[in-house]
Amino acid sequence: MSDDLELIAEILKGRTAAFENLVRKYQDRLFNSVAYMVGNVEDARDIVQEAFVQAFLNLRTFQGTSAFYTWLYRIAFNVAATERRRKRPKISVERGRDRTGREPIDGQPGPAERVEREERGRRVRQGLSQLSEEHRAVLVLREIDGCRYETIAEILGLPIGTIRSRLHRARLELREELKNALID
Amino acid sequence: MKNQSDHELLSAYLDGELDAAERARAERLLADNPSAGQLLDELRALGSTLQSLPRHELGEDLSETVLQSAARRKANEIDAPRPVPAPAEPGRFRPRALGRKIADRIKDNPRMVVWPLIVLTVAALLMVFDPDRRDPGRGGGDRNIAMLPQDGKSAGKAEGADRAAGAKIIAPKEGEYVKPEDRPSMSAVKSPDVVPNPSQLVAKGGGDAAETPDRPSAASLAGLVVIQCQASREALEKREYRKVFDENDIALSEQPVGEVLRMTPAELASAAGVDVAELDVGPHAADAKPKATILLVEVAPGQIAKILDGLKAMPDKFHEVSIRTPRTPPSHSPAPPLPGAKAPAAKRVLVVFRVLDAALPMPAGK
Repeated sequence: MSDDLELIAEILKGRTAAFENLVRKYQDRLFNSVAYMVGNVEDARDIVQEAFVQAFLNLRTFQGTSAFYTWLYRIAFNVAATERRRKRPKISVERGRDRTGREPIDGQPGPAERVEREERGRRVRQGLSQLSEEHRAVLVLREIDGCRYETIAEILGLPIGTIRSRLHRARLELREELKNALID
Repeated sequence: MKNQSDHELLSAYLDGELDAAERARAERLLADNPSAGQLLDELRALGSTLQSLPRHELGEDLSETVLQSAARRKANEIDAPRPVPAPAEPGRFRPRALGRKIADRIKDNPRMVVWPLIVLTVAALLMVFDPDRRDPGRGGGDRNIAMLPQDGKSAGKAEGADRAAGAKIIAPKEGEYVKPEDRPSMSAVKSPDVVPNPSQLVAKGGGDAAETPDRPSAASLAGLVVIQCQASREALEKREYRKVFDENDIALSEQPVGEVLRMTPAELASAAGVDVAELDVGPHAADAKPKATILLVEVAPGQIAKILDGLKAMPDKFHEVSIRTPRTPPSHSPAPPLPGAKAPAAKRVLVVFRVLDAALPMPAGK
């Protein structure tokens, strides 16, 4: 975090190229979460890019009270919300692998295991897509991005107690969606 | 384990988000209640499943694109409406932010407000210093509605315009002087005892734009081609202009021009470059004594030149033929073609004849 603040200080002094380091540092992490959040990789790429552009243009408003990544994530969520209102999803994560971004990293399993994993992943993504946006958001932030409750609360602008109950309800909802998959 | 808070407790326990007291409570719950243990296992399995999902990689470095995009947006101010970063309430309308944005843009480009200010100033000056309203002697009878003949179609139309404007109707005898304060004004307040016929309102005009729905704005008047010429009254009464139109298959509107274009007389006069008091609108002006007549024709490409040539070919009837082309195309959607139009509707042209009662002087060399 202190590295980020140093970079930001440099950028605000006029060395804008330092922002490239922030982009490279966070773009894949943000892209992964946003892709699961919005359910398609093309939109996710656009949202990530726009989030970085807005972060750069509004960097002076960043006060450093939270981590840069938390602030960036919050911008990305707002961009995603705006985009979601503006248009419908185009390509799902399922079908988007060959269109934009690399195929999700999946280790080097054997053919049978790979097929099984892919099927399980497909069902989980399908289950996630069935959740409400607010439930999907907390699950992605917690389980996929690994954020703590406090960070999730900052990103979503909600009290920690709300995050805790919402996260639990999201889990129960996804459990119902995936019941068959979990039996396996 | 029956209540929701126990469920949430286990979920938070799994996440390591409990304080010491809560953690102790969760562990007691797990020890005492087998179903709690089962739920915890299920939640743990769910978490593992989600965490084992493959990661998406962007596969490109966005840094250069981001900086270029930001620089472009900053430099050219092409920042389309986009969400403001990190708002407490995303998507919420912020009038203050909008106001600041507009103020910033004006500060950066002050010229953007110059023309609107000039237009507003000119409009205000015209309203205040309208010569017909301020100077009763100026312009004489041929510039004032009140001085138009009382009988005949022209007078009727003038009255129609007055009714539509909601003005007090004046029917002076020919040549009678009417005090300025008694004259009709296009901006007069509508009198409650005068209820205009809606078709009159549209066809013959009035100053109340709010009464004519879907009427093109005054700005759209600039989209009309206007042919102007002087004409002898005899030529107009005999409708000599028809020869030009008939020979060239040009459709002449038989309806009142104001009705077709949905313009008030004031707007028509403005478009035609004549005084509204001089105006007679439509093709049948034979029994009236107007000072100007406006016709509406619909022409195909190339026919405007034929109108000009045709009128110039009759110098004893029409002269000083000129044309005014619009600087910008009309902003309103095109109206359907005129009845009887033989060529595809391409352009509407106002043909304005200003009457010269005296015999037209023969052009030099003719």
